[in-house]
Amino acid sequence: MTAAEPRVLLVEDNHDDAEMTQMAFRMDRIPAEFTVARDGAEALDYLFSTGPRAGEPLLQPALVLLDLKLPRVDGIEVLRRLRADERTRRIPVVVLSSSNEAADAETTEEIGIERYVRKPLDFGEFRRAARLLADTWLRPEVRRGDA
Amino acid sequence: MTPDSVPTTSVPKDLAEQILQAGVNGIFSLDEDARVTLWNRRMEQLCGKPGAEVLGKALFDVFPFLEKTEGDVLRRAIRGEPGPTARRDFPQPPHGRAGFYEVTYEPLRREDGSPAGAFAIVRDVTEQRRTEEMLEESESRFRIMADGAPVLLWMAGQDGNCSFFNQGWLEFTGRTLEMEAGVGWAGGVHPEDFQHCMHLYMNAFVERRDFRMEYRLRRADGQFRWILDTGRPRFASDGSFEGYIGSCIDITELRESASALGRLNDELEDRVASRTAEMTHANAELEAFSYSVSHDLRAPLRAIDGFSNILLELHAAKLDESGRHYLTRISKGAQRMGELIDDLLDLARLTRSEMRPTHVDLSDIARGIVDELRRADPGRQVEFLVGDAMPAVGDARLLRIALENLLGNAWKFTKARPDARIEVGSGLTAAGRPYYFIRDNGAGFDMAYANKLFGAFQRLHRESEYEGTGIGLATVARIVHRHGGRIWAEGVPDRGATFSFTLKENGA
Repeated sequence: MTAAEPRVLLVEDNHDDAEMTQMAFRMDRIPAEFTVARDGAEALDYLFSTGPRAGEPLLQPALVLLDLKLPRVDGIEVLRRLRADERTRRIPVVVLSSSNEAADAETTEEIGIERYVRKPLDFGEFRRAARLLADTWLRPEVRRGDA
Repeated sequence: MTPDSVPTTSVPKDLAEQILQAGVNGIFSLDEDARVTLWNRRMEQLCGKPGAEVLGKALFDVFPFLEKTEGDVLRRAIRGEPGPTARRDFPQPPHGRAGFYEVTYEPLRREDGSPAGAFAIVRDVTEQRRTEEMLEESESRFRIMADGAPVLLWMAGQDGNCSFFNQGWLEFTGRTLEMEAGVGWAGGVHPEDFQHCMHLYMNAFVERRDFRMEYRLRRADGQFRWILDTGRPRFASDGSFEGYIGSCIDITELRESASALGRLNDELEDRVASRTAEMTHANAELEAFSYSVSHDLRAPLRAIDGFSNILLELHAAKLDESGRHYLTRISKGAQRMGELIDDLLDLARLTRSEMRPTHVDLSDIARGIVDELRRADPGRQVEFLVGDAMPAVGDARLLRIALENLLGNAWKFTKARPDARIEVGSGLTAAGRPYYFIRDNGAGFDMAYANKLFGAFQRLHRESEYEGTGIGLATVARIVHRHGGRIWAEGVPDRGATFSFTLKENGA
C-alpha cells in the first residue's frame, strides 16, 4: 500500500458542495480518492456491493463524509444500516450537514458517528475542517490499525 | 294467720280508711239524696272545706256552682248509670285550689243491686295539662315554621312511613296530607328514579344515617321537577330511633344551568383541543420550513463564497486588483446573508422552544456575560456596575440570551467612549413589580425612533458604524414577552440608552 490514496466516500446530492469538498482537499494537497454517491441508495450500493455493483468485492472506504438531507434514502438511514452491519460497523463516519438543528446532531451521535460538522459558509473554514478530518482519519497508521 | 282466714274481697275497715285517706286523689261519696257520706283528706285540700263542714249535707247545697256542670252526671250515677270520665276546668273555685281536674263518677249499689248513691274520684291533672299545653304550643310553632319554610319538609316514623308533609310539600304536589301519608308520596316520583330512590331511602332507614338523593317529583301542574332530598334520622332524648325528618329543594334550574355549563365546558375543551391541534400542525410546518431554509438557503451561499475563494486562489494571476476586490465583496455578501439567515432561524427557534421556568439570579448571569465580553475584547476599558442580587423566575437559557443581547449592545454602542460605563440593576415599578435595567453612556438614540427598536432587522445606526443584523432587540423583546413581561427603552443621542424590562406582569 505505497502509493494508493485513502478511499473517501462522499455522500452528497449537491453538486456545488461535492465539488467544493473535493477542492478543499485538493487545494491543501490532502491525498484522498473520492467516490461521490448522489443519494443514500447509491451510498448503500457502494458500501454493500449491491445494485449496479452486485457481485463486486466490498470496498472499505477509509472515511465516509455523509450529508443528512438526501433524496430516496436519507443520511440517517444510511448511518443506521452502516452501523448495524458487522462488515461496515467500524468505518469512520463524519456528518457534513447544512443543518444546525440540535436534533440532527443528537440523533446521529446516538447512532454513532465520529464527528458532526456543520458545513461552514466561509470556504476558509471549510478547508480548515477538511484538514482536521484528514489529520484525524486519513493518516496511514490510523488506517492500518483499523483494518 | 292462715290463708283461708284472710278475706280476699274486703280489707279491714281501718285499713280501707287509711287507703282512702292516703290517696293522692280526692275521693268522696254521696247517698241517694246526694248527701255527702265520705270526704277524704285530699278533698279537704282540693276544696278548702274540712269533712266536718260537708259530711251529711247535700253536695249542691255546699257547692251550688257544681249544680251547673256536675248535676246531671252525678244524678245519673246515683240512679245507677255509670258516668263518663270528664275533665273539668275549675279556674277559680270559691274555695280551694284553682286547677284542672279529671273526675270519674261511679254508681254505688246495695247487695241486691239497687242504687245506693255514687262515689267520685277527683284527680288533679293541672301539671299534665300544662305539659300538654306546652307540647301543643311547640307543635304549633313547628307547624308554623314548617309551613312557612320555603322548602318541602317531610317526617317519617321508624317504619319508614311518612306521617307529616308541610304546606310547601302539599302545595308543590297539589295533594292532601292523607294522600301523601305512608308511602303515598312515592307515587309522585318519576318511574325512572323510583327504584334508585326507594333503594337509597330504605337503606338509609336500616343504617340510620343521613342521606341525600336526587329524583324527579311530579309537581301539581304535572311537570316533573328535580328535587334534592336531604334526610336525617331523628332520635328521642333517650337515644331511641324515632324515624326521619327530611327537607327538599327544587334544583331543576340548578341542574339545567350545571348541565349547560358542562356543555359549554365541553365545547370550550373541544375548541381548545382543535386550536392546539392547529397550532401543533402550524408549528410542525414552521419547523419543516425552518429546516429547509437552514439547509437549502445556505447551500447556494456556500457555493458563492466557496467558488469566489477558489477563483481568488487558483486563478488570481488572471485577475487584476479590482477584480480581486469584487470577488472579496461577493464573498463578504454571501457571508453576511448567511448570518442573517442564522439569526432569523434563531429568532424563530426562540418562539418554538419550550419554557422551563426556574429561580434565577440575573446579576449572576450578567456577571458571567461581562466576563466573556472582557475576554473577547481585552483592549476595551469599560466600567461595569452589576447589582448584588436580582432574583427572578424564568427560563434561564432564554434570559441569558436576552441579557447577552442587551449587554452586547451596551458594549458595542459604548466603543467610542474612553470612559465607557455600563450599569445593570433593578427596581420596582409604580405597580410594585420588580423591573431590571441595563444602562450605558454610549451612542444612545433619538426617542422619536423608539418604536422601531424592537422590530426584526430594524436598525437605528449605520451598519458601517455598528455591526449587527438588527435582530438582537427583537430577540430580547420576544423573550420578555414569552415571560409575560414588558420591555421599554429610553435614550438620548450621544448620551446613552437604558433598556428596562419586567417578567410575568400578569398573574402571580
